[in-house]
Amino acid sequence: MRHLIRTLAIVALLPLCLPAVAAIAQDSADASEDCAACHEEVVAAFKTTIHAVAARGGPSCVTCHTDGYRHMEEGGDVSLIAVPKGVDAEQLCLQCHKAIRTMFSVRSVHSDTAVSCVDCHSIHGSTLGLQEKMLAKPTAELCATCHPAAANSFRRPFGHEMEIAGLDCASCHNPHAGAGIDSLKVDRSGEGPCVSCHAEKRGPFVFPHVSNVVGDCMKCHQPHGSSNPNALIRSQVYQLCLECHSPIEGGTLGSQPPSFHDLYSPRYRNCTTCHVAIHGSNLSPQLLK
Amino acid sequence: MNTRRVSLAAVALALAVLVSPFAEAQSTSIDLEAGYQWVSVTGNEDMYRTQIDQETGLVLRGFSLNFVDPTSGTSIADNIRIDAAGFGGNPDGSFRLFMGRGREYRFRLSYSQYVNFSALPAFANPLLDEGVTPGQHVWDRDRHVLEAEFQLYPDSVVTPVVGYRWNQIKGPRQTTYFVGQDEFRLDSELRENEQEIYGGIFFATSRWSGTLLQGWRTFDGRDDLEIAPGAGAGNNLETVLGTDVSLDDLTRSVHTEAETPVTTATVRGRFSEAIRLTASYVRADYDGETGASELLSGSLVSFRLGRFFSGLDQSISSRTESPSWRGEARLEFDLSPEVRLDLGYEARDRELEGWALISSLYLDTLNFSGADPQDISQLVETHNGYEREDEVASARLNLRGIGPFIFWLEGAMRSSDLDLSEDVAEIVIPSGQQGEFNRDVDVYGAGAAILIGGARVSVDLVSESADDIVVRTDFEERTRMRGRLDWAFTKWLRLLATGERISSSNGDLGVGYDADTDHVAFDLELTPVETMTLRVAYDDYDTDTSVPIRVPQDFSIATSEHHENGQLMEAGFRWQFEPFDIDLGYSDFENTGSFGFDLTRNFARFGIDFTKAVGAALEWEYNKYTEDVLQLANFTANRFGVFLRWHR
Repeated sequence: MRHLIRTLAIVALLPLCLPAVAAIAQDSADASEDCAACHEEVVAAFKTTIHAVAARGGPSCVTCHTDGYRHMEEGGDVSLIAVPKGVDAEQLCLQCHKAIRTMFSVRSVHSDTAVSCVDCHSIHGSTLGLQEKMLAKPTAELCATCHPAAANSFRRPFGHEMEIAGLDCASCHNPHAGAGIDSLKVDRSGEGPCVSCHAEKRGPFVFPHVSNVVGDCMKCHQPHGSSNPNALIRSQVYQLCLECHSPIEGGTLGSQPPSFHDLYSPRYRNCTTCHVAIHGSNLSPQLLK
Repeated sequence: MNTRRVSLAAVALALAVLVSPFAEAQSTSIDLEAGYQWVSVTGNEDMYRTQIDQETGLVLRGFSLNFVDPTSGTSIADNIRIDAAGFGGNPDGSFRLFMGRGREYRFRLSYSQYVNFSALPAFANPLLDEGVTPGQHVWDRDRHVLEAEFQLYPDSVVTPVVGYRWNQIKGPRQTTYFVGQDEFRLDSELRENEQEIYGGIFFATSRWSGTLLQGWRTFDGRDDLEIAPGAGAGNNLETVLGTDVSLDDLTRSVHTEAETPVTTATVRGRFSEAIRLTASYVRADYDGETGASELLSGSLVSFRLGRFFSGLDQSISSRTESPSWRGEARLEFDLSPEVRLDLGYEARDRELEGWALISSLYLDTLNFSGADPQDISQLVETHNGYEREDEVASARLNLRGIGPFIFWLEGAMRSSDLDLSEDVAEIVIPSGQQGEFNRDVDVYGAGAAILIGGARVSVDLVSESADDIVVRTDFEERTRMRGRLDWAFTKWLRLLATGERISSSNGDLGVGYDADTDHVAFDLELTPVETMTLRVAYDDYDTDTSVPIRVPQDFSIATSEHHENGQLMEAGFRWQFEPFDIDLGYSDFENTGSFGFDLTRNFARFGIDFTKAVGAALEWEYNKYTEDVLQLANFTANRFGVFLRWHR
């Protein structure tokens, strides 16, 4: 509690520091004005991006395109101006975006297969209206341009919706790559993305079930979209349960249901009718409540 | 229309009006699209809500404000970005604010709301054969997620940071409870909050950067339940030992509180231009307590007691402690401009200690012969625990820039040790519930990509081999092959094709697990003129799994088989001819196999720009869902919308 009060006090005091640091801000000349003589629309769009703010000591046109005076003198000869693409563009961006560098350069299939920053980000500002993070398109649409199979799996009826204002690919995946498998995001406590939203499933519980013990959410669920209700990997609940809970030869984890679970009766084909706390329980060893 | 959705839409629109003064600034851009939609559903409205859940009402399709002022020295922020969408008739809504001032501060605020509805006719429904729908597990809840973070002097050597996250789920649901040899429907009202406040620093020098954060996460959940109206007869309409089992009354209240301090440290940097390090450490120590009280009365049977009883007064107190940590380090070596070697190591440890004290007082019990009336008190003390250790050592070699080729090779060793203690209270049939389990998995992978002209072709193969399994659906051998072709032939044609095959198996005696998945997708996009796009796509998803199971009622062996064959056809057309724009879409997903259904979606949108800044759009969306077996799950839905858009 003492830590909490101290932290809250810091939060409350931080805004008081703002006037003191305001003087630190320095304006610098914007080297974009010369370029705007010919590339008016591009420069205007660029000024709507966060780079325009960073331009006070940060990048402007010449940072990426190098000195363009010969390009201007020769009447706009495109061979006299640098237009970074592919790996060159990636290296250029990473000169400033150092935090991305260490993530992007490891375990990133995007990096491995030469997908560069400008394949996803529109550095001059998006042509499709205002997009966050200077993306060329809305996130889900952007990812679908290269990952049609993953995008199509959201067309199945049960699972996460990718419609307006819902989740998008970057809600769970880090396109710059991260520590998790399939570039899945890991939260501050080292856990996967599911429990960031489904916090009530995080537990831990006195009587846990699958999660953290023998697998994760994907042991039973298809997160993108599923043909089965509740985004499960089986259409029948009893199949899903009994495939583990059948210790035929022993030596595996998963107890045998007692014989009164007569599958001829619909009561017992729907295991979760009784075992309601299937994600874990603090009350019932048999996950009955 | 749902009032909670209306209020949020109003809030979002009010925000749009409030921030409109920014439009006066020179470098401010605004996009706004909002309107009204009408939704009509025929057939199973519950299934429509479970899958799609659009409602008639006001909808904020999108609002974005982008304010950038690179020269201002006086304003409180030189960049502000606001995005909001959804709310109203849309089941989800989101609001995001980013603002900052140069390298003085940076502030991020986001809020998301999700309406979470489920009422499936067949799932967890033992009364389906009698025509009772939906199933007995339905819910209509809201989830709210709020996040805020403030950084002072961002991108400086030391950046103080504080943040807050709030996640709430609340609302009603219907669930069931097994007591006295019958199941009874219960109404539940849930309210669970998870909050986390954190603070610390980001640091960055010329060579090293990282974070050091300390967070405090709290969880507070309350669930109040009572028997649903008319549910006293239970699911089992037969008598048990000649007695009608019924429930007259039930109330249960459950309250859980937990605290979890979370420590996060990361460091990234380079020893030299050619050698880099990334490392992280996370520790989270969960400590939670749950208290529950339950009172019920009726005519009930307990085989555990060997008695009839007419009431139960139960209290449960439980405690969970679960410390966990995770550490990771990765070294990257640039052996040459074309060759990179990455070496990584990760370790993770999770422990759980759980205790529960279950105190039960069975009232007015009678033995099965109807004699010996008495109250019986029962005390169950149970202890449960496990420890799981995971280690991963990995290496990856990447060769890039060798002509048009890229190659990579990877290998990893994953090791898991699990030690579960025996939970006496859980055991009904011995075995399969405790013990020590060790599983090592060797992973080998290779891939290649070639970039020629406008084509990018890549293939990769990953093979995994395990020495043992923990549960019966763990693989012993698994291979995954993927291929991709991305061909942009001039500006007017783009072909994208991907294929994936995953095979998992375990041939051990008594397991016999076999699973194969094939997934291919083709996407062809034609752009005959810059303002027109035609798109056709085809997707085929096949999965077949089989594993022997032991049937509980007679312990015989049967095979559990599951098949899916999903085929998706899509077509789209977009055309902009000022001042008009047209967007048409068609998709049909048909699944055959264990659970057959068809889902057709059509979409049409016609837009017109009255001026450069103002426009309108008409929308129509059609959804038709039909199941092969359960016709009463089917629905057809139409959504019509009128939207106004404004841009400056």
